[in-house]
Amino acid sequence: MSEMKDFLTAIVAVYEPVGERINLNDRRFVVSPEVAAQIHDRGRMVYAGKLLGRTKREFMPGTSLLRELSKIEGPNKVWVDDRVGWLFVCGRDIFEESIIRAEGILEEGTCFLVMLGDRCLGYGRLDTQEGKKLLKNIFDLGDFLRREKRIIE
Amino acid sequence: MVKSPPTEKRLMGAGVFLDRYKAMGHELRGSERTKRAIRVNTLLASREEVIRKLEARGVKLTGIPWLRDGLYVEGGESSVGASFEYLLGLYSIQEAAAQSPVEVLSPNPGEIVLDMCAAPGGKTTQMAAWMGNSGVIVAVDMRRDRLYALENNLERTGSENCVAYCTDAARLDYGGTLFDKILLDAPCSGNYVTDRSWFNKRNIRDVEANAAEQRRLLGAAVGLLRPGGTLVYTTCSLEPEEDEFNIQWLLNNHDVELVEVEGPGSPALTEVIGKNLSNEVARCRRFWPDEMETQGFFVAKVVKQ
Repeated sequence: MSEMKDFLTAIVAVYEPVGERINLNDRRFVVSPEVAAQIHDRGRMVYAGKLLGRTKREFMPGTSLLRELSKIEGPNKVWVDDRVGWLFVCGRDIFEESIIRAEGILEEGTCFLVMLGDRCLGYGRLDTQEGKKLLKNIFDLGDFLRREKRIIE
Repeated sequence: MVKSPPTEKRLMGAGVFLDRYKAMGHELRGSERTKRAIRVNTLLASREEVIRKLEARGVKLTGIPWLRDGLYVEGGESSVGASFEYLLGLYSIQEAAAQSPVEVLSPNPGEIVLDMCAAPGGKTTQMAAWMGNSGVIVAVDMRRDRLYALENNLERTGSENCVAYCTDAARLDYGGTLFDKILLDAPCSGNYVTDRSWFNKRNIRDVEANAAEQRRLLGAAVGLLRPGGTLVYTTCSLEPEEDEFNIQWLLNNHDVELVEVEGPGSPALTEVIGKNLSNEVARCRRFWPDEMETQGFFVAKVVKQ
């Protein structure tokens, strides 16, 4: 699952970003015509428009993409409370019994957006560990704090 | 440890700088600190939503009367740097004075704006919010390490109308674009309010070197502005070489009109360190830490003729 389309398939979402697609190393962006018109030096460009995600071993969605997917009907979603949500953004997995509500079938290998109210905290894949179902954390918003820490260091 | 030469030592230290500020009419202690502040990201949340959610977590907030989206953090049980709302991009941590340049520039939806020294991106994301993510912000900075923070901020806050470059803003190929508005938040000597070891690090020679670099960027900025376009120049320095003197240089060397900066702060100085400047320089604003409970700050607004 190294490209956005694979990620969208995994969470059962239909989504087509509007604008010009731009690849910058392992990152995928989409830009408006106004932003595209100001791109004159790609060699020095480090960021443009909306970050769709990063393509490493696993596609890591940008938070703009998560935000848009959280607003539409169709993608697999699970809802959690504050306590479980905070553990999730600290990198932890989510046990099935901590899921308040789900849209989509909770079966092994399926991916879900993790929701706190109407906001998306990240996503994970359903797995089984010692006979118990859990949502393995693949990406969470705590990544911002981890990145900030790396920048400071 | 490298020791400063004797002549340089005479130009540094708290006494040298505090004496200068006293001569400018402000008896500062050198221990003033700023109040913690956040800025609501109106791209993703309303002021009411941020207040309601953070107060539910035990954070005490009060509005900053002279800022549209600013709130002082008065204390509380939770950290504003590690909350769901921060991670979701509903607000940014941004010192109050640092929020004022964008309010002065007032970028509008659809405009083409240049942010010349953009990293770490607090003001860039603030402009994206003012512009409702429409139009375009060209954000440039020379320091790759600081641009990682800008990229992080753009993503977290959902700022989607920006293109960012790592280079010298005075030398980038803009394809002939002349900008509607430019923010030059120039690299500067900083001030002691946000850096406890500042007095031990800075001397007047640094200030003069920074001022020269700022003039280079100011000249380039005027060249990149369309006629009638607006440039806001800011520093977080209290030193007149980087503030009033540079604005006087701009007036002397470029066809620009200095516009009154309305709002908080004091009028900029026109008689300072033995120099008499044009009366119109007083249209700029200074933020003195003792008066404003902010860091030291300077804001100037010019329109290209």
